[in-house]
Amino acid sequence: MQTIIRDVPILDLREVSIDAISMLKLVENVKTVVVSTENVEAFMKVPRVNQRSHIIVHPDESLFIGQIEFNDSFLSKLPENTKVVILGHLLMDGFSTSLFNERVQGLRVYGQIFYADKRSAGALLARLERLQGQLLRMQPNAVRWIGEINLTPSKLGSLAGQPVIGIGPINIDPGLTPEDIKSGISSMVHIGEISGPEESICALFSVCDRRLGTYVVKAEVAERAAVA
Amino acid sequence: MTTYYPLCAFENLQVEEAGVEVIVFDSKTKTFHLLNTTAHSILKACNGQNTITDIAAIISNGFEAEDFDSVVADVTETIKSFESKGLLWLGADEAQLSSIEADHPSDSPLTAIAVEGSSMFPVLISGDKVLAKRSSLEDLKIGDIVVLSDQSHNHVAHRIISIDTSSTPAQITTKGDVYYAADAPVGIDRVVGKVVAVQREGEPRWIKDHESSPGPRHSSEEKQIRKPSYKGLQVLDLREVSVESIQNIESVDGVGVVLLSPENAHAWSSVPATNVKTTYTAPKEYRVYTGQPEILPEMLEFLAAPLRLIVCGQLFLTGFDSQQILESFKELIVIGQLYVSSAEAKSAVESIANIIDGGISIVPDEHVRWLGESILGPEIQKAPIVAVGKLAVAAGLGEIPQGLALFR
Repeated sequence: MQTIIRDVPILDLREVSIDAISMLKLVENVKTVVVSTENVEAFMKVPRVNQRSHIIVHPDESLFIGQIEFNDSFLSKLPENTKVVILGHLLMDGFSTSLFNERVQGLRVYGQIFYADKRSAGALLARLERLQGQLLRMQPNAVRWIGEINLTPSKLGSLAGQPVIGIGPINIDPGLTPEDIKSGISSMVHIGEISGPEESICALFSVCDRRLGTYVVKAEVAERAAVA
Repeated sequence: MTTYYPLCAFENLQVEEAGVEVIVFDSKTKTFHLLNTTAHSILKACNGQNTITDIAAIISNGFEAEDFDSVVADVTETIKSFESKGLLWLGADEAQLSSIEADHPSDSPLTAIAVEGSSMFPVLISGDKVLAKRSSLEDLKIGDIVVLSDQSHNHVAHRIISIDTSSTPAQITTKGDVYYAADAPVGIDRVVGKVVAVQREGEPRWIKDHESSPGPRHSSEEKQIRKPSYKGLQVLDLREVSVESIQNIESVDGVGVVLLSPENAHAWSSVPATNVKTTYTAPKEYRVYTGQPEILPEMLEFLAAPLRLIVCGQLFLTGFDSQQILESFKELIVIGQLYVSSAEAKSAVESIANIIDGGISIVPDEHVRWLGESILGPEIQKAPIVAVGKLAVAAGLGEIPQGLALFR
């Protein structure tokens, strides 16, 4: 019997045997496949459709998946001279560079790196062997918006003027005015799509120090708001 | 009568097999020597304990019905030659070394040529010296790097991508690793030699013989092999993939950059590829950043050695001054746009970069950065702005205000 795997963001095959991989009939719509040095050759023979990337994790590397708060607490849990692979985003308000140098021998990051402390970022860059993403400066102690966010008056009100780091789509509530947005967010770094009325999108852009992504003007929503 | 105990300077020598011969690199004199197997056996026997007669006895074991005196004479001549080249010391029980005369062979099958340009980056870079060994057609394979002599007698070192033996003389086609287009085919008589070693900053690196290409597959076997395809990728990094797996790729389409290793680069020519912008051969120790990385001068404090970096995307070095750039980077390839904040920094980048595909822009160090699809509205309150990608102007703004510091 042959297996088809489709429509998953991350397919971790590191612990899968060569025999089992050779039984794969198709891998389809998978963003990232993680393989080991042992089974990568077997995986290379598997037919694939719309697979964005594959990552080979070596036996002496430690893989972390997801959003990582890269701080002293995280670093203190690593053994000395760890080779770290991160599949996800890395957020750094700052860490002890001596602890980092002791615990991290090398680093590969497949995702975005956000930093607030330049010296920490410098130490990290010195050991960053592979980056697939961006290195972006954020404000210290920024509020994290991870995933899809509906930017409503209450959501905005909860910020109390704090800076924001956003990863994922932001849907702007038509009830928010451009002035609400500009006064509610002091500074923002955002990766993802912004949707909403054009003037609100422009207002959100105006507070973005760093941004990557697209935007969609919701004209119908804007018209309804105007009528209301 | 003086008795000699030749002692090879083994600690200075690196030995690499090259077909039926060996190439010896003397790190003290930074010179290469080509030895046949007998000469190599003699050199190995020069351990400071054996006399020339002892060595001749060792060597004569490999010959039948050879007159021992003639073996001693041949060994003596060979050791004289080694001594003249500085490969060994002639330790003697009497100090009469000056009686040994040096000989200097003139017709060497090895040619050393200095490299200029970056067409084979990073396997070969400007300042390298390649060692080409005179080779026959039978010695050459697809994937080998060869030195060619063009019509103006200039030397070019490129990689063989095809060999046509149906013509007389046989025609070979080569290509620089960083180029997508092949060179015009040339006759085999234009091949000066096959590159067997590269000397960089005084240290040699041996170019290993590539694996043989597999023969044609039978149709029944073909059906059993399932082949992957790659489409629409920014970077296809094949550096850790075997030659066999690369040859097994069915197609590559719409890929920005294909990264190969020196060990598997020759296999790329067998891959059906369309709309591939660039291929690069890069050793695994090169760092590869894709996306829009910003490098910070703060890393200088922690760098053990200057970076060898390949960037596919936009690279921001706006925080660097010219000196910091020179200290931070050893080699730099940017497939995309590079951003700095001064003319001096731009000059520094130009002096160290091997390839910058998309040009260098000067923008302010402190700036707002929008990448992708962006829109400029009347609410704009932060500047200067660096906008990479599509930038629209909102209806409420009408047109971009004069005096707005906008860099696109």
